[in-house]
Amino acid sequence: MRKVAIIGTGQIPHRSRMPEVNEQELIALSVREALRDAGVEPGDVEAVVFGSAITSIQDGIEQVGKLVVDSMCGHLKPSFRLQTGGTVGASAVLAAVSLVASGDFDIVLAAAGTVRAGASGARSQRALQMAVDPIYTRGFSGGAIMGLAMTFRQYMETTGATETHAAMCVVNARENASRNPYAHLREKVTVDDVLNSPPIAPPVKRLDMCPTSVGSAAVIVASENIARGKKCAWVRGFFAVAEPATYPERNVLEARCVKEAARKAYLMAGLHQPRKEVQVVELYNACSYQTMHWMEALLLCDAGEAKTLVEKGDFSFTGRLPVNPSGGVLATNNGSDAAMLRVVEAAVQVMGKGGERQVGDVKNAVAMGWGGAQQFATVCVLSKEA
Amino acid sequence: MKKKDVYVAGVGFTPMKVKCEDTFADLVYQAVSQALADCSLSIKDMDTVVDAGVDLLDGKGLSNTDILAAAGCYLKSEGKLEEDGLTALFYAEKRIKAGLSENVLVFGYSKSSCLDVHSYFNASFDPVLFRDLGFNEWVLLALQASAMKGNGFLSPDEVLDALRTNVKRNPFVASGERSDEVVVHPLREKDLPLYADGAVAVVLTGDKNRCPAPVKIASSWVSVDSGTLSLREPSGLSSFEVAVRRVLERAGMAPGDVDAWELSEPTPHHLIRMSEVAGICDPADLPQFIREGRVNPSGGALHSTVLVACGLYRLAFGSLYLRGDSLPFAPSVPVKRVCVHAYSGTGMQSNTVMLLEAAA
Repeated sequence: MRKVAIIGTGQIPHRSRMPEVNEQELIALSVREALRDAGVEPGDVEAVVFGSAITSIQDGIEQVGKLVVDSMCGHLKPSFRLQTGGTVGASAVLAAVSLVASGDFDIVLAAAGTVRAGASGARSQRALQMAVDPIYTRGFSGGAIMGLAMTFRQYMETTGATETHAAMCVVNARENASRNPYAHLREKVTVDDVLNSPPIAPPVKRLDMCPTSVGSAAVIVASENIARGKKCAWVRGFFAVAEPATYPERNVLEARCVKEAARKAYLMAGLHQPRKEVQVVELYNACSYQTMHWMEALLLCDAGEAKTLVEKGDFSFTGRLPVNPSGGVLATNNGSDAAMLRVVEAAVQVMGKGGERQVGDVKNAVAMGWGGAQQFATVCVLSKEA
Repeated sequence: MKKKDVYVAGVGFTPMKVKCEDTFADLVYQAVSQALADCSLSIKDMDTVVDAGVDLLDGKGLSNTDILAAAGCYLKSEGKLEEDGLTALFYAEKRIKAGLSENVLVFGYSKSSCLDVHSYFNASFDPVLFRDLGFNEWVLLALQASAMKGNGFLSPDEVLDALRTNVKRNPFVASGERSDEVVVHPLREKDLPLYADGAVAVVLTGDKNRCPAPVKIASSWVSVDSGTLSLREPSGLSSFEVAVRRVLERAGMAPGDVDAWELSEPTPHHLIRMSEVAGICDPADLPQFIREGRVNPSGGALHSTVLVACGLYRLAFGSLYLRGDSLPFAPSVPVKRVCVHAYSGTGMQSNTVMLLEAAA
């Protein structure tokens, strides 16, 4: 693949509501930040990719990518919209990487976000409920949380992890988010706060779950000749993998799509010992236990080992392998931009622009996205060296 | 460094029907099976799936979560675009050129005739300024058609007659009589798209040797006009013009070098102007170009518009022309280059154009 780098990122502080902006303005705010960070002008952008997850049903706006094209500097340029559920933000970056790596473009912008995600958490769940079979399962009204509750319980029974381990992941996430000016939930919490929070779908409690946040993110991807000499994060490996929602032997806990995406991305990046070669991980933990589940599925620790590493503080900000120094999805979840923010935050760490949330010198960072009916995964490896 | 060439290895499609009773999965499975059989490849040979679908048209959020099984997408790279399938194919082509994929299965589908597409299009407009006014695709097309009048105008009936001649030869097009009744002035029912159901699948590869009858994608481009109606040129074809121009420029060709055009026309008025801005012919010559199979030998999109898959049908037809497959509606003379086109958005806001070449 032609060498490709992320030369600029943009995001805005996420909140529960942002009534002062419309969809176009929301996207433009992050795009402006990304352009400034990359040191490029709107006219330099040759193509744009937009990512939004289930926006049409959630927001009542169709073809939203066409609505925001001007906000993305995309007027009369190649532009398309991806829609791959929770992974969509990362899928949009992957598409931008593909366009640049094809040799047909040198600078491509990817953006994601929606203004209405935080209008109502229940509304978001109703939209997600529309993703399941209309006859057999839609009437159960579980949204995403019901499926997560079942997998959470299965994970605990299989690995011996407890709700306390999951709560420790939330505590770590909020601690990290307190250092991130863009995070939505920045208040610190304790293990007791999490364990005593109201149950939603046992074992999932309110503080086990991510918020619904309003915000946006943008990324500028460039070819080697543009990126050389700039502070950048080289895209060394990037894969999106899907599996069907249902098939006879499917065991969601196996997370086959995550493992396959990780294997391919590490191979592409030339990481033969990722546990030793990766300095920071940004993963898509919409629910507390997923912090442990994904570290195992990403092959960054053994199956069932994550709970011990959580106890030892290995995944904390100062730990052996910091996980989500941004606070992760547990602190900020727009749905549409959540997976893009994983790439953005990984790039920020590689470029050394993390400020208070910078974990140190990062040579390789892993960003992971997840979505669909627990069936889509993206894994991206960003590096300081090309 | 020489860029990698990308080839259409196989195509498959269902007939376009009105009120089709097959499920989405059935339609996709039929098209995918045909496309794989067409190039003697199996689903295991596909490393990537790129699909085009629209949640609202499918009546389901994240509609690809279920439809992927019908396309055999097990542990493969996947990306869903809410665009026309031809735009999805544009993305797939870039993945192969980038070396990120080797063989990509692309598909697009919808059951447009079973839906209230006007609500879909109405929801595509600004909810404050335009939606309550009753704006939908047909209203915008009518405004554009009005703006096109007075420019050496050719009667749309002459274009419709020529298209109908070709449609009669195409067994894959949905049949349906259209009336002269004015729906949105100046457009009559017969000037507007007949929405239909169907699915198309295409196998793309970077390995020419895997293609029994390779068709090369010589050039491709997408152009999207402003999301603000007032910023668009009144006839609405700026992005179409840019896309055609860039495709030809990148291939080092002129419009006259293209033997046949498969255009997705929303109305005959648009087709007249499209032929003019693309430099295909003088508008007065368009009916003759259509009858000779130089423009829309298939009969065009007007008589069967399968939203989301319309452009992919054009690409499938164009590929078959270049392969020399026996088709009752193929151009009467051998063709070496075919230009195919798709539009999406409202009022042709987004246009994707590809130049296909017969690969020896």
